[in-house]
Amino acid sequence: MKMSDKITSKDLRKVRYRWLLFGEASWNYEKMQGLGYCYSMIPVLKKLYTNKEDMKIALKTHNQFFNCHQEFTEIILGADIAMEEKNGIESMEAVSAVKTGLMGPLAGIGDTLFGVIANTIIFSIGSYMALQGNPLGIWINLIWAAFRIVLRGWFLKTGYRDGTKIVTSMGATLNRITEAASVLGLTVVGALIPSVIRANIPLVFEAGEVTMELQSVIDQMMPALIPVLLVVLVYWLLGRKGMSSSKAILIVIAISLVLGGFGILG
Amino acid sequence: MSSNGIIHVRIDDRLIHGQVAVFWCNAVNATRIMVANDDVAANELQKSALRLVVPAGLSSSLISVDTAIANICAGKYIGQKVILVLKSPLDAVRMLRGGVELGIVNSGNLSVREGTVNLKKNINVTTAELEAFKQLHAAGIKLTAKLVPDNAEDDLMDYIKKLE
Amino acid sequence: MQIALWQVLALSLYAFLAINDIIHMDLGLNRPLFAGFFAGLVMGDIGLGLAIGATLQLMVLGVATFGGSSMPDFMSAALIGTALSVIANEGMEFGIGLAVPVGMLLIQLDVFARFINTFIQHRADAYTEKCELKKIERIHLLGLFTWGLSRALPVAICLIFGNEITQTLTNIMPAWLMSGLKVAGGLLPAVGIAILLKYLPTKKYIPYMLFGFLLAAYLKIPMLGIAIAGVAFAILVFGRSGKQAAVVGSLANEGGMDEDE
Repeated sequence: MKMSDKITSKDLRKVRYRWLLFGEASWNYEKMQGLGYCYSMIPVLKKLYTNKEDMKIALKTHNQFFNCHQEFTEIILGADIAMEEKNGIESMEAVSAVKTGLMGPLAGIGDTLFGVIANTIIFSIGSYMALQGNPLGIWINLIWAAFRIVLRGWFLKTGYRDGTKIVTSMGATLNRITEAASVLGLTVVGALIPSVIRANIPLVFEAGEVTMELQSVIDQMMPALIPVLLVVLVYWLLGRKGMSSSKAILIVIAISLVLGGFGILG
Repeated sequence: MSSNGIIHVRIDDRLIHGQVAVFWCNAVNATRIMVANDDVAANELQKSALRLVVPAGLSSSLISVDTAIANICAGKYIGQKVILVLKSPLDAVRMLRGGVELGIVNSGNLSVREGTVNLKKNINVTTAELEAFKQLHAAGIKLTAKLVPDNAEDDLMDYIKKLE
Repeated sequence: MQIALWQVLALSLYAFLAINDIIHMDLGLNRPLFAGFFAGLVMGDIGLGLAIGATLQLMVLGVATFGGSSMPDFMSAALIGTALSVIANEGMEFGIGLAVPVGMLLIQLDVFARFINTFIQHRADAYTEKCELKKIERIHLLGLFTWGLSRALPVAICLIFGNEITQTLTNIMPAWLMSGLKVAGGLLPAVGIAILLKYLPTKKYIPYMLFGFLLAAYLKIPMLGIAIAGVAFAILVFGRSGKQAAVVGSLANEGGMDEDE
């Protein structure tokens, strides 16, 4: 049974805001975002499935396990709605397949590009400025957030209009953007090392007339030598078996307490 | 570790996603990421989606289980560092039977589905999958359950034994 | 100083909203940097809030709850650390010394909240059998409270007992511990940076990292300037990868080793 154009932009908007504002409210270890996805789709399901049996199938399909990066899910939602609008309840299996097939990769790209890289860049700069008393980083992030919210609306519309073609067309370009963004991220992180790690050796050696500040000797060798060594140390530690980030934090605190207590660092 | 080029085997029903792409490829210095799955190999959409997540600079292989067996046994990847991603332990058993040396098999996510039993936080298995794990273990393969490289060494068999 | 009721409410409400923000719109409220700023604003010492928030932020650069894993809650920790520092009239080291262990302990509450939602899931499963749409919607939204309270309650409790907590701490904390914590505040960003370097393709692009270091350490160029340099490199790399893609495209047709189908 084919459905005609029943889905209006008002329906799409309802789905959009449900996901944007409340999509992950019920996140749990069993189905993760599954219920949230189902919740977001309800306005569309109400329009398409007036028959109770159909609605039940639809609800169960959408209440299945789902996990994706929340900002790329709109692509799947859009494509899903288009498929269901076209073929109604018959499309359920295909819809399930698309959801399962796309959620992994889109999570991957979203987590890497938006989660790791973008946040690194923005909050490296933001934290650096904040340590100097400047809250500019907060504004930069708000602008980025506004952009992402708009982007997500575009994802939903494009997913609905073009189906999953957006994935194929975005593909190669997204990889290149991720690579380029990683480069930007690494440049900024390299600059972070001497800027935000504070490790000062206040030891002074006196030999007769000569006083020598250890820190300035080290600085002559290489500025920010100690921060660099520290990062290398922690990086190496993290590669060891049984090490976790939490343990690394505790180790650094322990080192700080010991060296600080003895006045070697201060 | 392995002479056929496979340096890490991961079972994850979401195939390549955030954790795999970001953590594991860096942790093991992979040069290639391989998804051996019949459904994926036959589905253009899935293939383009997966290509999205392959980290830049890595080669990818999105092939059927049989092709993977044939290629690996023919020595196509010797000298490379391949992360092999499988959707299910059933595929791992197929590869084992096909003559592929697997070494250690790590399990990432196996989601809750109808008829699954919970082994560990992210790992839920059907009866068939449980059997498959036992077969792998019987063949001498070490089964671990590390979600991310950071995690402690976790033996999957410990959880399987707890079930019985 | 005594913390006022409005301050407790403001910070607890912030925590409630912040956690619900990061799982949805992600305006940034849940970031330690934002939380520190807000706490500083509410408690009357923005500089302190920014310093604590920034230090905590640097420890979780690029860390996120991938695939449902949990991470230290340095948002709540920033709120608590800043507020209690102001109450105790102490400096940033006090705040950090408090915030780091608190943030790490709060991981358990994140796990707990996600687990509690399983009950919501089971209820919803029952409602789907009967197609009770309104009930599904309502139970789903209840999750906002599981999340919100998992952050707001610990914050509220720590703030309400803020005076008692800070009194005890200042009494038992020896001077060497305080100076050690001051050092820790300066060293801990190294952990965040090291963790990040494990997530980024560091080995592949190490030259760019070295260049960023050079610009900052030797030439003392400010961060925004370095960001511009980074963008320049990014554009170059992007352009180069475009040409590479074209080459690989033609090779693949000849059966190049790169792509397997």
